[in-house]
Amino acid sequence: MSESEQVHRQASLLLPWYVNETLAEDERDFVRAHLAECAECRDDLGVLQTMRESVVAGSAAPIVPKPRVAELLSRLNGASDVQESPFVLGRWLIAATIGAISVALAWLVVEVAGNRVEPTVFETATSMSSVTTMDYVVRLDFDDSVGEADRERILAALGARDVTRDLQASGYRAVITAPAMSFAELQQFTERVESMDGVQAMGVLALQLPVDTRSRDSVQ
Amino acid sequence: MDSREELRLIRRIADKDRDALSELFLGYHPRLFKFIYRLSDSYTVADELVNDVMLTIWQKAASFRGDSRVSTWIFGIAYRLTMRRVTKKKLQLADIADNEHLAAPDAADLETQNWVHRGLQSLPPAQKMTVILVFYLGLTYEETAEITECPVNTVKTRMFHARRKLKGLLEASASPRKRLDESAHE
Ligand SMILES: [Zn+2]
Repeated sequence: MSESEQVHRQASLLLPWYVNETLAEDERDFVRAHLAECAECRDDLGVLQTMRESVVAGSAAPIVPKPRVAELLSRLNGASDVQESPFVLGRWLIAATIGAISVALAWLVVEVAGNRVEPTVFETATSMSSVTTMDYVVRLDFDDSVGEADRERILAALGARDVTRDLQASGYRAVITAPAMSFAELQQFTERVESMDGVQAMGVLALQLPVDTRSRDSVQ
Repeated sequence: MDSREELRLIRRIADKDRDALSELFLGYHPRLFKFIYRLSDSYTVADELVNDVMLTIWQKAASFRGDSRVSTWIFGIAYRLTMRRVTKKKLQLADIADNEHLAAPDAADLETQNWVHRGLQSLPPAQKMTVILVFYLGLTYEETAEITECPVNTVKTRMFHARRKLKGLLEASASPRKRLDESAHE
């Protein structure tokens, strides 16, 4: 690439921010000087300005609904201490589930579109009147910026065991034992874990009745 | 609300002050709603996610270190929640119910905005969202990179490809009055 091509490329890549006026002074001067001598970039400048006008004005500006403050505040109950313990929801569920569970469902959870999960019920287990906890095989993805020590801290906070690194460098597979939850509760739990600092996504890969630790090698 | 005041609110929210959260919510609601609406093209999703963003702020306020502006942090949360939802549900265009809430567009700008709007819709989500961050929120390339959690170069390239695609559309659909005669390449 010749020097002038390089200048063109650099200036061209900076154009959007020349348009939104957030370039540093030296960058702005650099782009301005290049614009004076490059017809293509002047063209592109026009395109970007039109794009900006359209995005700012919007051809279909929505009428903003009233903020639902009361609803928000009502949701805060129970959501406040998620950082400290994502199991808060689960603990009171023990009381609700003891004696009440007669059927335990197992899910096969398939991963779709990156990290999201969609459940498919594939098996209905036999009557289990005393199920209070379940083993959740989960996949955890961390934000790239989270270091090794923090990852371990988060995994420890979740009580994760049998931790293995997943194919992707940022992903881990682990087993978490937690109170039995309905699917809606499981989703809520997933959201809570995902709202933890450093956690990008959690997906439940499988759910099983607690198995004897000595034979847990079979857990995938 | 200036940035110092916002920072004070975040500190109060970190101390679980509900009034502070309400105040921040009311201050940010219209902007957040419009932002999510633009990202998702769904009135319902925007209405729902605005509250989810505030809930996340409630949960994460204590970990906000002040490395970036409060607004960048908040819109970053909104961006990620929306991105997650959009890729999850594969939202395309606004559904019928959404259209009831649309204000009438300005007729004079309709023609130009149509192609830009259509063009924006046809971009891959990451490109489209980058355009919105840069032009709707007016973010620097560093801030855009921070929110989208990707390198600055990626942000620049996304904007480049988005522009090239929209430029092609413009040239293909422009009336003679608007045709850019001298840029016949692509
Ligand atoms: Zn140029």
